[in-house]
Amino acid sequence: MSMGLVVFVDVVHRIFSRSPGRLATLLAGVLQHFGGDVTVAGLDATVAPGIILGVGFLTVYAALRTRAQASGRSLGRGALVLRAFVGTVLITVLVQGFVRLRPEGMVWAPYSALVTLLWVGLIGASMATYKGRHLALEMGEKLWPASLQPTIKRIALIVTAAFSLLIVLLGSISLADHFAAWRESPTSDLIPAVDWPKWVVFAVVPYAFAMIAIRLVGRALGLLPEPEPPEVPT
Amino acid sequence: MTLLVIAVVLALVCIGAPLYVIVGVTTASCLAAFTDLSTISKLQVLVQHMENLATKQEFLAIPLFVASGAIMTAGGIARRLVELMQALLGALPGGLAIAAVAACMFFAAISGSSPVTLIAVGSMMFPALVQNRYPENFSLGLITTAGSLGCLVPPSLSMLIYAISVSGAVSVDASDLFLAGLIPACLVAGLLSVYCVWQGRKVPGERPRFSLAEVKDKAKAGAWSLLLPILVLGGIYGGWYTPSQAGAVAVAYSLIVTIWIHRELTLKRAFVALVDAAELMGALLPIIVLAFGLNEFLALVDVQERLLAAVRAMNLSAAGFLLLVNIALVVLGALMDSVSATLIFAPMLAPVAYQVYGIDPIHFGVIFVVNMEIGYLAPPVATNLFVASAIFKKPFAQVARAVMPTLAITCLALLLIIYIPTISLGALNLRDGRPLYAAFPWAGKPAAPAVETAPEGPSLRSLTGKLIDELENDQPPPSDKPSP
Repeated sequence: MSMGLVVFVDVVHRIFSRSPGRLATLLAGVLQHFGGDVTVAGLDATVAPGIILGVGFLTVYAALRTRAQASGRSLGRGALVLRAFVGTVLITVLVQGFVRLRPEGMVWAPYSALVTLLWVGLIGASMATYKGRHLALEMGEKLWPASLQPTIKRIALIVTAAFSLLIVLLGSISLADHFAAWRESPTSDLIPAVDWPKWVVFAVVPYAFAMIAIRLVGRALGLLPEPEPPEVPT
Repeated sequence: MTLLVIAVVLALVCIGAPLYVIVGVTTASCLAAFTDLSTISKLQVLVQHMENLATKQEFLAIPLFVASGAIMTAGGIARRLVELMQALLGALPGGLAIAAVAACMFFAAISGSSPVTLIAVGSMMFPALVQNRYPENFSLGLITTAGSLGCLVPPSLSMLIYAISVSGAVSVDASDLFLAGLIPACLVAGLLSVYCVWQGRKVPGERPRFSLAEVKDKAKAGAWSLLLPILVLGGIYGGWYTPSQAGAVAVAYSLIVTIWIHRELTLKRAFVALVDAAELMGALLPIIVLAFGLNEFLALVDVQERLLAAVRAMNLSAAGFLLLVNIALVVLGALMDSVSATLIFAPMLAPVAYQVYGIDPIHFGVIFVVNMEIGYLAPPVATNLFVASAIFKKPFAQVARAVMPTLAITCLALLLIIYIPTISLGALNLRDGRPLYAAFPWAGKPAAPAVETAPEGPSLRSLTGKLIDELENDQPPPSDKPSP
């Protein structure tokens, strides 16, 4: 969620800090096509903000009007208009305040989101192992007679654990390389924009696959329970 | 050595190893057997692709759309869409079935996933269809097939994965692919709707009367859900944001709609939905990154060049080539998971289609994705058949039989999409101010490369060195600019 919201705030900043704005450029293009004597800068200063405010107000009003009420009773039109007005003003102040106070924006947003993606994805892979959600060709298992299936399953778990351990080994070698590079020069080997050491970020690779391997070995040896089969395959 | 690698892969398939292990072991054994990247430290290529994720902005789109789809699904969007479509289309002959197709199409646009669409819409529409005396097998087949429309309707995960997987070989913008998929999706949905009308005429009982008041009522309830695809696509094509940023907009929008406007999702349930999305990403991510390692190997041993030479030697026409490729893709789609098939075969086939026959990579992408849609339905490895069998509690064989008529309709749509490129490229042509009509190269024969190709005969050593250099360099992330 944080990954999405950080990038969303960055998108809002990019849209509202663009000068001239996209809407003014679009409007100028359309009006000039029909022979209108307008300039992008003129529209950007006058008409475009008005349209954005108007659309913003209508959107907030529609959201308030269609919003499910906890008590079941709906608000009167006057109260709705007032709330929509206050909401629009608040959002405008927030967005404009943010754009003016941080004109440089959030250059780090996509980079931090990518780091989060790596962490969420790989820890998600570990959780998927825990819940037995990794994609597999189920027909393989069904080729065998029922009496052999537990043994085949155990072999599959051990093979998967062995492969995960290979990734742990490779990840650890890479991690050691990154750590050595960072220790030699703490300003190098960093993730751009966020300046986090790469070895910290990439530590998730051996960690996640080590967790996967431990879980699989535990299951193969009967020390850990089998995951509940999901209601539907995913 | 080749036989040994094949034996290892077959053994892994036969013991039911996870796909990421099959892809990873295949990559590692190919690297060890066929290149001089045999020492353990050189196998770091496998891990470095994972680390490279931290610099590839185009990857952000996948988890963000997965997350927004999970939030919307948990927030009861499917019910609102189904009710709206029933109110709009229920009065037509076969109206309830058409409503199911339309609901699947719109929900696919929101969730971006075929199995999720099948689960969310199908679990409501299948009982409704059977209750309204539609034949059970027709209902089963229709819902299972319509659920797979998620592959084609933007923002589609299959399209994102295709665009990312071929990015090293040909230039494909995910937003172009989204636009190109719209009309083919409507074509498949339209053909399915014709089938619904034909079947619906035989269904006994009275159809509900059209009520404008009910439509208004249901539209009011479902309008915010319908706005999501418009917001995503409008933002991308209006140049406001890139597909990755659109994913973030979708996450924020779906949170506001489901938690604040509809009030159907609590923060706790949103958290559960997001954990679910993280697990789905966790199942996809290792396959994606390890498949990149396999693609790296295929590039190292010049598989693409060899394939180009082989296709040129076969001297097939463009029509014959595409027919052959599609037969192969349908078979592969039936045998393999769609994500793996896309990651492994799209980067090999798209450049061949482009360089030898001048087939547009976007057009080829749409063809590929429709094939993957068929792959979701073609047994034995058919994700949607497994899902349908589980949620509708019907035997797998019955579901497989039930989808045959609708699968045939999808194959018909595929043929139209292949041989009438205007269906996929028309929207792009209109947007870019080109003539709408895009001709198919019927008389096309292997031609001289249309774009610059890799220099001929690079040594394995130089390629290997380049690969290692690239991996060791700290490249800034590629800009993820919006399309013009």
